[in-house]
Parts: sequence; C-alpha cells; structure tokens
Amino acid sequence: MTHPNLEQIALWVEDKLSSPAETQEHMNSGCVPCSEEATRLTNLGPIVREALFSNMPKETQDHLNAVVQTRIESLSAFLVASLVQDSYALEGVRGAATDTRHLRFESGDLAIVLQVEPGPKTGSSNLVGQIYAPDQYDLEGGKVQLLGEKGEALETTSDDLGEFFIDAIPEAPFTVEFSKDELKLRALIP
Amino acid sequence: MIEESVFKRAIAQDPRAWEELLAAYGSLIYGTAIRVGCGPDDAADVSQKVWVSLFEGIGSIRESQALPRWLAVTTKRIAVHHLTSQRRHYGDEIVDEHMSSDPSVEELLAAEDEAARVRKAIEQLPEQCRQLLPALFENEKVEYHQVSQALGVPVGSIGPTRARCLAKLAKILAKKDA
Repeated sequence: MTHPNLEQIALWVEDKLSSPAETQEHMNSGCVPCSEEATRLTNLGPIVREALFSNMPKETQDHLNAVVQTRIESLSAFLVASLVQDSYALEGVRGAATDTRHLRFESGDLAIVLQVEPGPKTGSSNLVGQIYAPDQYDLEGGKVQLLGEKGEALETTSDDLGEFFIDAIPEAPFTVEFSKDELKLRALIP
Repeated sequence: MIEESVFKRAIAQDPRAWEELLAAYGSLIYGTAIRVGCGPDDAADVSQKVWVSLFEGIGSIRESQALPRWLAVTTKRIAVHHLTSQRRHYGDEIVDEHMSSDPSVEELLAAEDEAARVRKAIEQLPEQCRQLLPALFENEKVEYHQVSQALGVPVGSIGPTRARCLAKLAKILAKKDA
C-alpha cells in the first residue's frame, strides 16, 4: 500500500473533497499512521496560533525598551532620595482608600515631603508635595514630574516655597522627580 | 536563557543589556499574561508593569538562571491583579470571558518553551509561509478573503498554501523532536 505524503495528507485535511481520488480513498480506508498524521496536522493550527498570539508584538517591545531607556537616563542624572517615613508602613497595613498617606524622602540636606490624599472622585488621588533645600537653591518654577509604572507622565511646577500639587495621580508605585538648574532629586513611592 | 554577563550588565543599567533581556524574555512575559487570561491590550499593560518591576528589583535576583521563574511568578501575580481590578470596574461577565484556568508557574514556563520552539520552526519556513501563517493565525477570527486582500493573493490559493505550510512546519518540528 502506498501512503500519501505529508503534503497530500495536509491538502486532504484542508479540503477533503478537492484532494485527489486516491488520497481520499486511502484516507477513508482507515490507515492508522495516515490518520495520526492528519490529526497531528489538524492540531497544529491551534499550536501555531498560540505560539504567534503569545509572542510580544514589536510595538510593545519598542515601547518597553523606551521606558527602560528613559528610566536609565533619569537615574543617571538624579539624586535618589531615600524613603525615611511612610504613614502606611507605620500603620503596619495599607490604609483605606480614604486615608491620606504621608511620606518623607531625604538625600543629604534635601528632602521631599509628599501627601497622597483622596481626590474628589471615588478612588482618585491627588499629590501634595514640598521640596526642602538649603537657602541657596531657588525652588520657584522647578519642574515636578510624576512617572507612573504604566508610562503615565504628569507634570507641574513648584512655587517659591517648593510646594506643588498634582491631581488625578495613578496608583502607587510611581516616581516623583524634581529638577531646577543643578538640583535634581528623585523619590520612588512604593 | 541569557548569559550571566548580560544579566550583570543589566543590573549595572546598561541599556543594551536591557534590550537583550527583553528580546530573550519579552514573550515569556507577554505570553504568560495572555495565558493567564489577558487580551492583547491588557497583556501589553501587564508587560510594562512587569518590566518596570524588573528594572526596580533586578538587584534582588541572585543569578540569571532565576530570571525566567521570577518573571513568570511576577507576571502571573500582576496579570491576576490586573484582571481582578478590571472585574471590579466592569463587572464579572466581561472579564470572565477572558479568564483562563489557573495555570501553575511550571505550566506557564513549559507553555512558553513550546511556543518558542514553534516560533523558531516558523522562522525556518519559506517567505510565503512566514507571511501567511501569522496572517491566518494571529487573530481569532480571520476570513480567507481578508487574508487575500492583505497579502494580495487569490482566495482560492490560501487553503492549499496553508496546508503545504503546515506540512512543512510539521516536518521541521518532527526533526527537532527526533
């Protein structure tokens, strides 16, 4: 008995009635190895689909590369302030969504004090913050950026006291960066 | 698997090393999110969260060999959290459509190994097959006339070409199994 080759079996699987009469006859005869090949080919479609569908798309890959690139550039320029006080940590548990969270970050004689407070809409939050620095630094008009973990970027400027406000902020973790002239400070809110 | 030196360079924040890491593990992250039940947009969001987590936490991973498992565990956790928070926002029905069964980390790692093997085999197919198979299989409901328009080939040739491509692919995969 001559078996059809794999390509002939594949063509039979694709369209049984259009395949040559001898292939149809052979496949309908109940040949076990050829039936197994036909099953394997039938199952291959979903396997290919899973392999392709689960592959990270090029645009996602490009975007993630850009996110890391931005973070690396940012890290190399900014002083990273250490978290020295977090009201959530003091409470031992995450506060309820209605609580205001108080955080303090320090780096040498510089400090960032932040309050994450409930916003007007349910589940929303605002950020109130202040930069503390020695008198020689002019804090007015400093650029304050909030970078969320999903790539969100919100921006505002500080007043003469180093105070700033950003509304509708994303959920933590996020990063707050302050920059004015040579003063560049970064805080990671966990 | 990446070399230990790439892992060390990534810890030292070398941008090229991060590109190499993403090329090696991007589909483990994205594919894990898909397998846990995310659609493409959610999988992209989850991938970004995982990638930022890795950037923030890579210093705590002891060696490159531990990376795939760390990524699978982290992705599964973030994806489940993402889907659960969507359930709160949109109600159960919509999310449940996409929720898969609860695969273990071992199953997720094995599924990605198998998918990577199939992707490698597809790369060895002739150009015509490498264009046709993604067009046919990347989306759930693709009609032959859509593929015909996208690739500029007659509708009648798609079925037979698909069959020949799958036969070639089966041969490549069988060789690698041997």
